[in-house]
Amino acid sequence: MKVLALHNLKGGVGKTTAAVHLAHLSARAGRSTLLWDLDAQGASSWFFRVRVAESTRPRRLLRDRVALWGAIRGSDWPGLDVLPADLSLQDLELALHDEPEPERALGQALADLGRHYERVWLDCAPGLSRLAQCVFRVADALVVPTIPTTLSLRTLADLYKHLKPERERGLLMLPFFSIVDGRKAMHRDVREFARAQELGFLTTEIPYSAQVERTAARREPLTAGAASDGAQAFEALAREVDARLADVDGAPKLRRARLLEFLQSQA
Amino acid sequence: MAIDELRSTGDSAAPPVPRRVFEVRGAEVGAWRRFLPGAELRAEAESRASALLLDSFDRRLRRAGLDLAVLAEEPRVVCRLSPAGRAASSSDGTFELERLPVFAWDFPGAAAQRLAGMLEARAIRPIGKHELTRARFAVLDDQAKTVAWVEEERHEVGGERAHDTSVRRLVLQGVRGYDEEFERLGRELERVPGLVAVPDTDFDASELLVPARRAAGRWPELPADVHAYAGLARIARAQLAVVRANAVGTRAGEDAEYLHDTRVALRRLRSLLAQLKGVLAAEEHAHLAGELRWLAACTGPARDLDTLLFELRLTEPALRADLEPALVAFEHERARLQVQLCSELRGARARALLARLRERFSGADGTRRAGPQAERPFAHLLAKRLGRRQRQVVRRARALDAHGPAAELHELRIACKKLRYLLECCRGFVPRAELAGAFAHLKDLQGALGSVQDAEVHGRLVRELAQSVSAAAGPRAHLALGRFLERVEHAGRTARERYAGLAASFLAPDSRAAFESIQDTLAHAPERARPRPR
Repeated sequence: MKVLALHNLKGGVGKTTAAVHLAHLSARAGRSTLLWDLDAQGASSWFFRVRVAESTRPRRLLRDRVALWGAIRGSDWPGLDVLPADLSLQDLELALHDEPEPERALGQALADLGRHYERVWLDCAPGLSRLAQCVFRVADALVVPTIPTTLSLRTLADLYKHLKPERERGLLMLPFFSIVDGRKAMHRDVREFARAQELGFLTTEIPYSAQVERTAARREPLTAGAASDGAQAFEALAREVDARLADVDGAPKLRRARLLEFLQSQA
Repeated sequence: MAIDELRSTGDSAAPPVPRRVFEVRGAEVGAWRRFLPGAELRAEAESRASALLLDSFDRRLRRAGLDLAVLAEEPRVVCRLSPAGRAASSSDGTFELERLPVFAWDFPGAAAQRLAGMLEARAIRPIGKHELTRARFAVLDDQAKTVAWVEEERHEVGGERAHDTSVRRLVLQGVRGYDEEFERLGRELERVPGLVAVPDTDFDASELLVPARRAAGRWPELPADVHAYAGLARIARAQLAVVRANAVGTRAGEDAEYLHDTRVALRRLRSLLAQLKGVLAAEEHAHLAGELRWLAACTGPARDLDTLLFELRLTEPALRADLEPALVAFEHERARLQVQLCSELRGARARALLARLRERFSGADGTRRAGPQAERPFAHLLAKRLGRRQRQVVRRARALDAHGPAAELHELRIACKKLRYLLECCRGFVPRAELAGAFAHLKDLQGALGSVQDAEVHGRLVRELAQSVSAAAGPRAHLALGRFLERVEHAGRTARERYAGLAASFLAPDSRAAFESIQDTLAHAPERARPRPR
């Protein structure tokens, strides 16, 4: 089993859109897949038309396996299940505060889910909550959608710095450019710099497009329908993530110093 | 943190997603839709899949617990092995091959070894076809969320060895977390006329195929005091039953084993007729022996080539690739021999012979053409003939060492076979354990001599047939045949060395004592069968 988390300190960068598509593609490839919505906004739950059952007590998900399995819902897509979230997710945050080793409790829950699922995608909320800190410690990889702007790069550099211990223990960082608008000069400059300096970004970019935006309204992944530019972009992203997972040692490193130089030059 | 090391030790496995299966009997497969008026359904595109089912003619794979199916033939052949009856839910491996497999060794590495253990030399053949048409419906809730799936399945199973069968099933598949909806739908489907709940198992297409039975024949039960004619007649009837059971397969050339079994049955019959002279009238005996010799000669060339092809296909992949043009030419020759064989088997002479044998040994005909030994106790006659044959084998084995002429070693092999057939006839009179020692000595000796003869025949055949491998096949094919010939000759030399050791063992006192003991038991068998006076 591999645990992959979609995370960024910033909100509105396309985490949920990427999470639902990558999870769908993972199931479509024949892997038993779980998408665990760890954002109280419950956007990916809503996307897959899955609601938190009234009987669910998020606090119990860490310790009670019957409750954990009982909270999972099948999606409309074969092989893809969803562990939904809503505002009650704060209960899970509180439970983590009560745990002596919160990351161990989350890790154990994931390990048990790993008996059934080959891949677990965690759709995280922005920021550095206790839950996010636990995710950093248990995930195999952090997939970081990043809008190609100087502010986003700065945030990414901070995240890399913050996650130095986790990266040293083997957390794989997989940033990619999201909501890319080729008409904007800044988007062009940032991507060019990232390419030239080999900052470790995945080569696939998810474009800004009405088609991608509409998926949320239609509540259906682009990758479930006819071939489209958006679907192809997510398929390429999924392939690239798989390739990086298979070759952890070959993953390029983020050159933080270069990145900071670039940010200063843009000031 | 290594997640895999954090697993709970208790029961934390995922609860299964529920599933129910219904068979559709006497109703349209889609009739259920009219009985769920409140349910919103979303139809998905209908899918079709077909699989070519493969096995040996006598269903060896199935009996060993495996199903083999071809899922695609273009651009490459995709084969899947699965546990018997579980093709839909379980797989023992999927293999991409250049062409449809014909023998176990057409599969790669470990799979070839595994299958060879089950199939031995048997050919893999299409035994039927399974076509599945599936229409899938999502059952939606008020949020347009799928809460269950209903699949309409139409299974068509047919083929050479199958009753054409159509089975329609309805599969209700739950969605995790929507158990209540599943239960409710299950109850509603139970009430639909024509739907019968059946156990939730994979659809088993292979089970519907008529198994071809291999009829190697059963040895008949012989009472200890049976007379020679009656004993011979029972054994002959059993052999004729084998010939009849294998007739269709032999003529169709489906698998080399049909012809092999036919030849063994005919040879056994011919050998016993020859060795039990005097049981039939002399004129009748002479006629039947002559005709059986003719029939054996008709079937011999095809069998010889079968064994050569078997050896050629057993070569390692690199050599086999080079041998491919030769294999094609040899298989062409085998096909020509098959036409000739069929013509002889269907001809008046063969039919007349088999009819006469059936008539001669039928219960109704009695002993009309019986000879002077017909009324003698069978066991006594066997004891006498067994002793004579065993002495002949001993004499010949003593005279032949590992370097003996091939023709004489072949004569010795035939004598061994005759002795073995006589031993088989002793089964009703001599305890099995007593026979076992004699059989073991003989079987090993016969095996070594068989390998010597195979090497002779294969060497001769390869030299003869090499002419038929066209020059266009290139020097690689001819060089490969040369390499194969070297192996054949080496195998012949090894078999000769093995023969020398086994002959010494056969000539040893314990082996001779085993035969003497059998003769002694035979001599007293009829007396033991009579009820003792009080």
